[in-house]
Amino acid sequence: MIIKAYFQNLFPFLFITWVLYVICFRFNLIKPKKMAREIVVLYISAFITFVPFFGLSLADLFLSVNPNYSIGSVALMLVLLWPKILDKPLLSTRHLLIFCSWNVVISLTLFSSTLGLMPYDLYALGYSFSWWFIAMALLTLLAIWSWYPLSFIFLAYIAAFNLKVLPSYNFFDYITDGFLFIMSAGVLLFLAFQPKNSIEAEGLRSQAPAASPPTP
Amino acid sequence: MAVLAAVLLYAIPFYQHDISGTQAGWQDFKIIHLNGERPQASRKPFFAENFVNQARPGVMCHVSSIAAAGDNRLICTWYAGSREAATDVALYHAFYEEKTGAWSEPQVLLDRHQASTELRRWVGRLGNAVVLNDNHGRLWLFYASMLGGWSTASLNYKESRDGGLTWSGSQRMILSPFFNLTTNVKNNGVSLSRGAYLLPVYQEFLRKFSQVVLFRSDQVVPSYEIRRMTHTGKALQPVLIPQNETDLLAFFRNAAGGGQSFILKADSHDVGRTWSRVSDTSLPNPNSGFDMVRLPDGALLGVINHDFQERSDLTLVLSRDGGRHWKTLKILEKAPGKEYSYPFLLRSGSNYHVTYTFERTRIKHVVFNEAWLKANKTYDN
Repeated sequence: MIIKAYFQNLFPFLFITWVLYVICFRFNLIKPKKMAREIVVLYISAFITFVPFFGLSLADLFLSVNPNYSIGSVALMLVLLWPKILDKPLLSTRHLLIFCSWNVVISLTLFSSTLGLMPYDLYALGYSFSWWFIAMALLTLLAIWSWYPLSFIFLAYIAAFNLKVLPSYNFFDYITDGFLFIMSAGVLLFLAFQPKNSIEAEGLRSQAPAASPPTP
Repeated sequence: MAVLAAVLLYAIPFYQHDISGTQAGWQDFKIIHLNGERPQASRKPFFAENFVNQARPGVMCHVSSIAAAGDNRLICTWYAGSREAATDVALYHAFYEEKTGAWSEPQVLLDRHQASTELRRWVGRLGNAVVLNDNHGRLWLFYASMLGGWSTASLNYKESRDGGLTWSGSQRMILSPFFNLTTNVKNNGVSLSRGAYLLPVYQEFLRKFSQVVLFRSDQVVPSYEIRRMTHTGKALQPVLIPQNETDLLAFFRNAAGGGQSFILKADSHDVGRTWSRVSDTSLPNPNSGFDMVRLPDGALLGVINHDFQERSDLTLVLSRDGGRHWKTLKILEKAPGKEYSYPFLLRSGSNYHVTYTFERTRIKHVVFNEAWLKANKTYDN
């Protein structure tokens, strides 16, 4: 219960921090590698996220709209935030593309089922061991083989599910959620329409190609 | 190393589900079937009606539910406010003393501000609520909270261990991966072994369909899982009727709208895990909620709006062949232009209690016993 109570606040904190960084970079308020200024940004972000106004904090309001932010959402926010804090990407653009595409595809499939647009009840498979767990295990092995950096996210799904760090009891809720779908679709659109230079400026494109494994 | 980690991590749910048996699966539960427990027949037929609450100017009330609260008391819940899904809607409750036949003064059980404080979430509105007794000395209140309209409804629950005098804080249920949209509740649950029960719910975001929640209440922190009951875009507000340890019948409100719509029916042979396709019954349904229970002799007793268009009558109906044929036992209400709707039916000992929305201004309570049912001319015909 304690893990659940704290872990679910991680996404709102990461999101607010990312928004603050985007604003700071846009208005040149912060320079990369200036540790003191970054600590100030993180402090302000924590204050904005967790201090209640009129009874509820911004984190509470985030969780009112979407009560279960998946491990995928947390991972995507870390991927987006990492280059802004440490000035180097956590995932290459190629891997980010694969990750966001995976999020969009699994979300569309799952939501179609959950909202009654297809007759098969996919969500019911996520409560206990089923063929879906075998499929995800195989996908994780594929990720380890082909897209090594992404395999950590795939391993995090099942590790978090086993530890029950989220309010949900369903494995699908550890993989995706409505917010992740919107964010991933937004990143894909951004990558599709932004010029190369702009992507590099936003820190989404890999600046250290050697860190990415060669394409098999 | 990563491959080993993957194999080990995926082995844990496999071990829990298939080897250790630490997590009871749906197939491990049995329906607590009360068919053999015949209530003690009262000597005289008994039928009485009264109101749970009094009408107040400008206040509508709707969606009542009733449950045994212990010590010969019943608890009734409903919501009331200036209109449906208004921000001032609150949940109310009152207690009925079976010995005296009197209702206590209604009290606010929960308003949206209290719900918001308990959940630590923004709650824009409160909606349907159902109170049920888990046969293990606890009452559970399931209620819908919304950010906006009905299609944003999410379910929450509260627990009482003292017959509804005090309640735990609210807990939100996660029942959908898409912004937790949208789950609502109307009818009673079915008790299972191991302190679990089935709660019928429904969804009406993009399509309208019914679902069932397996709620495991015997754990320190209750757990639950949800499954689809129907795939049609019209079967709502399921009523679950136990048949035996594994079989269930379900009847649904028909939300097709327009023309002549009938109450829908489906069945399950695996404690509600999978369901047959829905089919029409011979009972009309004006896109309105209803309730049914199984009588000790196996007959089905229902309270429905016996009309294709209006909610202006409320009728007791009976079926002796599993819902294929029905006959009218008694018309409880009939007044053109008025609304009598959303009945909730409970069997408590030898008595049957019906609560329903009376002209949207009050909650009416009708109580009768088995002797009254059997004294009805059409009961055995």
